[in-house]
Amino acid sequence: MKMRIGKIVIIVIIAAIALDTETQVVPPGKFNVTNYPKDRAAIDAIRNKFDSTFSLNDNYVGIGAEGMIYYGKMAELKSMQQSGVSFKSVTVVPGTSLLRIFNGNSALKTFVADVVFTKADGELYVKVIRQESYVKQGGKWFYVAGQDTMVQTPEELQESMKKHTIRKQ
Amino acid sequence: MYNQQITKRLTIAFVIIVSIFTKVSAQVPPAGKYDTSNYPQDRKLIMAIQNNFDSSLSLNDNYVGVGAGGRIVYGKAAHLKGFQQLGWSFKSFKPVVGISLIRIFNGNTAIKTDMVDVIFSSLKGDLSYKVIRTDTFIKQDGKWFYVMGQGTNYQTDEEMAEDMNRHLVK
Repeated sequence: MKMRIGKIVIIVIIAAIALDTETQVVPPGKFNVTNYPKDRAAIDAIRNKFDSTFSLNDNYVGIGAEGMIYYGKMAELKSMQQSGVSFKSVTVVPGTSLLRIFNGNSALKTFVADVVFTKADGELYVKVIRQESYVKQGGKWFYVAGQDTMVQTPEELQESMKKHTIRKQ
Repeated sequence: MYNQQITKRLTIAFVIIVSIFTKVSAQVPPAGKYDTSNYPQDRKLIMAIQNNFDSSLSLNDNYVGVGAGGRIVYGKAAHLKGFQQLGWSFKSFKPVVGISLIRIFNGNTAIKTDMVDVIFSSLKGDLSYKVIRTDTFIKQDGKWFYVMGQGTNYQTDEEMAEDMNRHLVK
């Protein structure tokens, strides 16, 4: 009996997480996802944003899910090295990737991803919502901004809300 | 004995305040690194925007928002609905001095990064957050529009360590 309740609880939790991720899928038809097709292909082909050829004289600002602002790519890489983490994998949640291009020279990419980091004492699993900003200059796209926000389970959200609540007197 | 305890508590409080201050001040944009004076007229216009949700800033609802709580919304109506469902409303919104940075590219893309102290009102009481934000504006036909906003919660070193532990699989 106990096991059955346990199973039901697990199924409910999985269903709640699935439902939650579903609402993060891009609504079809809402955004223009076909304009500037060549530019889309060029941006989608970028695999490593830290490749120096995408740097616009280091005119870059990164905001990590841990709540830090990094001015320039070196600052971001240095922080990763100091905390002893390295990327293991980034898996984009299907249906969440959206690339919007404005005026032919500004691109905003958003997606939800499951990220795994390797650390000396284990692996870190996080689900993040990410935005990446690209700007075109002299016919070439450059990476100028990135930000991550941690996806919280409903329980984590409740806990965090409690922590930030200033009780009414 | 009582005095010793008070001294200990005050010392701990002082250390916490200093460490928060040191960490926040480390998030100030380095002087001279970015061009913060190009397109002066456009900077003025963007800085004058008080309410990003003003309908005159909407580019046919071509907007994506990411809340610090970890939700992505497509369109402003979805964003506002999220707030209503939580029963929250903005009480105050105060940028941390010295963090705000506006970068303008090609004269038609503006990326503003900021740290803000936000207070929401809810039935259970006020909620206080320190949030790091990116707000993106696009200029079309001579006018600036608001197309993207994202918030990430600022964390103290202790919160960061706790959070890391929670997501760690040994």
